[in-house]
Amino acid sequence: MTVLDLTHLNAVQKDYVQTIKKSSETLLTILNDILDLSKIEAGKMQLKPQPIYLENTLSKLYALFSQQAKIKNIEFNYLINPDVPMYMEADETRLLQILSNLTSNAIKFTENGTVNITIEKLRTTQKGTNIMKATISDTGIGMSQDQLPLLFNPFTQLDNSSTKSFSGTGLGLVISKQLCEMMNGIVGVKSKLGDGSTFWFTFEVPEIAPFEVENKNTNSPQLVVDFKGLKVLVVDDNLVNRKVATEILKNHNCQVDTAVNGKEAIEKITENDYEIVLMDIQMPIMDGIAATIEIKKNSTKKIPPIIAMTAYSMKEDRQKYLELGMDDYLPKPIRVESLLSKINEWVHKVDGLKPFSMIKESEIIENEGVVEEAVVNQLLKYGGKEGLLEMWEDFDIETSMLLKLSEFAFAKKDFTQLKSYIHTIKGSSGTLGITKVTKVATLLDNALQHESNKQVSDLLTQLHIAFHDFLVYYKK
Amino acid sequence: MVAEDSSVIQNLTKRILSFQNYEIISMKNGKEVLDYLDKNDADIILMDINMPVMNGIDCAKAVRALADKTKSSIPIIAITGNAQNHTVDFFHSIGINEFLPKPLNFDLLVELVNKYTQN
Repeated sequence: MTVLDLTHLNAVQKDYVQTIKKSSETLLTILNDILDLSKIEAGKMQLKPQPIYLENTLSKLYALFSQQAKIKNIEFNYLINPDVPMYMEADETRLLQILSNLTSNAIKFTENGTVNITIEKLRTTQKGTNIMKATISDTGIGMSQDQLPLLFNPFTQLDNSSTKSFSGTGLGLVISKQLCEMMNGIVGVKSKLGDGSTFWFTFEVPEIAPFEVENKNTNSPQLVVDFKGLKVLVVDDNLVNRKVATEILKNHNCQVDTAVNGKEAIEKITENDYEIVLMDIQMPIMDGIAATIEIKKNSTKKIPPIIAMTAYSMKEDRQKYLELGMDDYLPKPIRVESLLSKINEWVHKVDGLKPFSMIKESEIIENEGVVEEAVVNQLLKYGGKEGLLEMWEDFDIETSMLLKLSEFAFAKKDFTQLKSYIHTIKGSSGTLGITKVTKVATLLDNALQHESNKQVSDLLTQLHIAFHDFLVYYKK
Repeated sequence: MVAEDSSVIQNLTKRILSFQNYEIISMKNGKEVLDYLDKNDADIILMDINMPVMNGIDCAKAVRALADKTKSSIPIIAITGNAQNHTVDFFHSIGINEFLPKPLNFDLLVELVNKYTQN
């Protein structure tokens, strides 16, 4: 997936890859967690609370299930009440686990309906923590009253006939209930046969001061660097590793050759002039260390630096490779950033070239995409720095409120009202040069002409993200 | 007078025009404008089109229909996010002198306000 993501994809494809990535990440975590059920039961499970930004958590959940909901023609929405403090300390994985369990159930038992998730704050405790409530309601098949008490028993699925039409282990609710209790919360359900189900749970979390949230929706930061045709030989017996390294390097304008073992590497190095060699250690026929020793011993021409690539990441290993003649060491799995900075380091170590500018792409997006410099300069002209910050603060206050109102208008399907809120956001962000927000608001404005629920809901989420990016930018 | 429901645009125009030594009165909707003009005066009105309670178009029409000749002829500059929804002719037909599209160009804003308050 890393390789796929590096190829030139159009926006839609990129979005799919992102979704797959996100989903697989989350699914993997959840799978592991399910294996932990025994741990809970043995009383060995411990929560690991960390600062989280609730909106992010919910958008992960959304990304995980939106495809599934779409396939079943389910309208899938989430709403965080305006009075909910977004920054809190919680074990996000466990919280997502409960939410995922309940959401996946809701989707499983619903066809052509609605699944709504709402988060609200119930109260603040005496010690200052908040009691939150999450509600997952669906318009699916529902359950009868006598079935409800069985729900939270292990391995109970209501339809126990051999022809049962729904898959699942029946563990989900049990795990959810136990995790929830660890968060000082309770789980509940309300349902009527044929008339949908509403599951809810509460959890206790301390509120924390706002922090900069790493935007998980963007790719991991990529380095923008042009190696101007640098000749690199990648030696690895593993096809995937060769492919990953090759793609990354080609994307940054390297000429890449590959070899599958030490012997082939020696042949290629003899015939060609490479500027850098990336060498795997464990390979059949001739391993990386033997090849390196051979190259350094026999070659009459200038030897390119040889960088070892290996999963052995002990400090002693590193020292060992250097002693055996490798010039440097790069841990596996290959990461874009570490690979590029390692290459960059060697490029100017060898030639005394001035270092290429290493700029994180995410920083460029932040700086160039969030606000428009021309407008910022205009604002500075009229108000100075202080004025600019005041105007941004105004925007922050107003837009925070408008976004919350927009969510409510959307939940009530009041498109006229929603449109007027989006209009205001579009106008003020445009005037203040908060480009990213303007772009999304404009798209949303257009989508509202067609009153397409799915699109509006997606764009509202994107608007939250764009606004959040602005907040991060301006608070810096 | 600045009639605008968004406090962002409100404060922004206030800041820019105060800088040019204008005295600013802020209104949140068309009705507030009319209520204010009932007892007071203004030299120019910057009027957002999209406002709650009473929008800019209805308000402009009502201002033009005021009995007091000085008040009914106060220059009105419309501010609009969706200029394409209305033609210049339409704005002129209801007595709006000029319009400024959003996003606002600050230089143009200052220029237009200066132009209409010259006399």
